[in-house]
Parts: sequence; C-alpha cells; structure tokens
Amino acid sequence: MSELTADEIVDLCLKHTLYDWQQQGSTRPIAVASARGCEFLTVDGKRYLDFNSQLMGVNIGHADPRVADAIAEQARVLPYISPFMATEVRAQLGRKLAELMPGDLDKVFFTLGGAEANENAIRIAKSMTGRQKILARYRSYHGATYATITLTGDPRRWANEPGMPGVVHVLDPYHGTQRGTDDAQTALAYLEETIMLEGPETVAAFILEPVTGTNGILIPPDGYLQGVRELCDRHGILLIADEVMSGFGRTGEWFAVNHWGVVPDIITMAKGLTSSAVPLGAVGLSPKIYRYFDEHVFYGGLTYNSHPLGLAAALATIRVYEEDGLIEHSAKMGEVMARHHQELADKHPSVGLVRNIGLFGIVELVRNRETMEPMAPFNARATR
Amino acid sequence: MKAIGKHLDERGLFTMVRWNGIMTNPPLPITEEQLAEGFGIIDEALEIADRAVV
Repeated sequence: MSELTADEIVDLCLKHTLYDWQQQGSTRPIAVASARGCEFLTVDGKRYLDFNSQLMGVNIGHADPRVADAIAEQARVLPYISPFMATEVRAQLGRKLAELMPGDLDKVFFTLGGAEANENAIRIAKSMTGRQKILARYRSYHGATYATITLTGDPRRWANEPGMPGVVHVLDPYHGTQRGTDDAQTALAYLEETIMLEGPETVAAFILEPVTGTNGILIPPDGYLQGVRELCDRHGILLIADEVMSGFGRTGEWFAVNHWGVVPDIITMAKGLTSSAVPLGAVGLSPKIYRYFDEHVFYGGLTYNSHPLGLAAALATIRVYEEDGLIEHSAKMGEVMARHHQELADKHPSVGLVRNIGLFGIVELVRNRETMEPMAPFNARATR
Repeated sequence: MKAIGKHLDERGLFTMVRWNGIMTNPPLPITEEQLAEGFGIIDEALEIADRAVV
C-alpha cells in the first residue's frame, strides 16, 4: 500500500522533479504502483496493457522475478566496485555478449545507457580514424547528451543547437506518408553523393538505427544496409549501428542488422540489455577497432563502467530471453501483429500505412488515402 | 490524434501516440490474446480517426 494518494504522488513529482521533453505545466503523469509481465497497475488500481514496453525497453516484460533475484543477490555480495577491477559478473557478461553480437564483435565497453553508449562510440570512432566528422540521419534519435542530441536528427535537436561540431545529417530512405520510401539504390546514390561532397577522408563514422525507432519504425529497403556497409568500407568510414531500441529481440532477431547479414564496426545497446530494470548500456567493438586501443590510450571512462548491479541484471535478462525463447516468440508474434495491422488497414480509411518487423510496429494515420496527407503534421505536439 | 490518445488511455492501453503514428511495441512475452485485446482497443480508437478523414 502507498503512503500517499495518487494525487499526492503526482503533485509531489511535478513540484520537485522535472519531466522529459515537455512544458512542465501541461503534463499530468500516471501514478504507477506496480507492474508485471505486459501490464502495469496505477495507484488507483487501474490496469494498463503496455503496448510500448514503456520506452521500447521492457523487452522481457515487467518485474521478472529471475532478474529481481539476480539484482538482489549481487546487491548483497558486491553492489559496486571500481571499473578498474575484474569481477565474475563482468567476465560472464562480456563472454556472453561476445557470443551474441553479430560477426566478429567480441569486446564491449559498459555505460549507463544508450546515450552514453553512442557518446563513447563516436569518441572511439574519431579517436581511431583521426577524422572529425560523423554522419547521422535526420529521422533518428541517438540520445540527449550534448553530443548525442547533435547526432539526433529529429526536432528535439533544434533547441540544443549548435551542439557538437562536425555532425552532418543525411536523408533517410523514408520521406513521410506522402513521398514514401526510396528504393535502396536511390537512397545509396544520395548517401554516396553526400560522402563525396563532404570529403570521404574527413568522415569518421556513419551512425544509424538499422530499424529506426521513435521516428516511426522505419524498416530499410532490402539492400540499403548492405550498400551502406559497402560504401563505408570503400571510404574507410566506420559503421556504427545504434541498436539501443532495435536490439534484444525487438525485431525478432537478437540484433536488427542480422536481418540483412550486415556486421557493423561498432554496435550500441541499452534498454533491452537489462529489459530496463537497471540502467545499463554497452558499446560493442570489432577487433579492427579495439586492437587500435591495445597500443593507444582509450581516453574515456565512467565511475559506473561495468556497474555490477547492471551487469547482474543483464546476465539474468539474457538468460530469460534464452530460457523463454523470446527472440523466436517475438518473430512469431510479429506475424500476428502484421495480421492485426492489415485488418485495421482494411477496415479503417484513416489508416495510411502499417509497418512492423517482429514486435516493432506502427500504424500511420492519414486524412485521405489519395493524397496521403498525414493525420497530424510533422512535429505536431505529441501526446503520451 | 489527441482524442485517439485519450481513448486509448481511458480504455487502459498504454502506448506512444506521436505525430500521426500509433506505436505497437509490446513486451516480447505478449500473447496472441493480449495482442487481440490491444488491437481491439486501437480498432475502437480508429473510429474517431475515421471521422477526421476527408
């Protein structure tokens, strides 16, 4: 039982804490008491079915007791130790991630979340290549630290500009409901032209979400990611896959790049890594990248690098994916989702486009199916 | 889109309604029954959206 009523909780939260991405005076959060599986309960006892895994991160479901036990056990034995130490949980999780990551990626740097992972990914890319520029896409979100909000293409960047120098944004294959999606060849020709005009030898890395998340579950046309990989190789540009949202079964594979058989040089992850139970992110590196740091100092660090509580949560979470067959289940339920999407599209004239890959989906609404004018304009004020 | 968000909220479906999109990203252990329940609520909410079609 709560000591405070729902209204008292909400009022105190608003009075003493800041909420993300909004005018503080115009928000009224839900007072949540508990959560389990795919549902959560409000302080007033109302049940919600969670159709967004909160911020697309509670992948194994809420409050799994196996993860809770692992966190509690770690908290009793060794809740924290300096990142300069070696621990069993770090050894075990490092080995496990090396096994799960695509291709030859087999070393990680642990952070507290996705933004810090992307922040360190670009630091590593710049340091290793000696180049200063980073390519990122407009319809993207990579975090809200100063560097990562600059990488972010979507309108949340605008108020934070000019931000970090050297970020160049490129268009995505997807151009909205009215213009649709370019084929891979067209999108790649545009990307190649941008690289040429920027000067290939000035570009350290291209960071992208293999399947874009918040900006609309954008699934690339076949051949696009393979072509990006080829372009990056040709120009010595590192490919950074931001799999913070798309990783850990969201798309029906451990990582979204697996759908296209593409191996990035660097992969970033968070969210599903611990199913969001404890803040944890990671930067996965290929030997080509980390061998550089055998001879050069890695100028990065975090007090909470390899925080034992996060690592214990991640190890237990990965065990849940495996024990419960959740990656395969995601792919299977993705087919069920696609049928629901199609039924909605068949029935409702307001449905313009539907997309999903695994349990990563969106229904896009339009005012008119002929003109495909979106139901709300780009950057219209979001609701919950 | 605001009316759609309100309807989903009232009926106990939590998701992100952003610009012209309704996100469908449940936790991976979701069952066929739970998917049917969630999409049933979205189906109702789309009646509101259909009225805005020109």
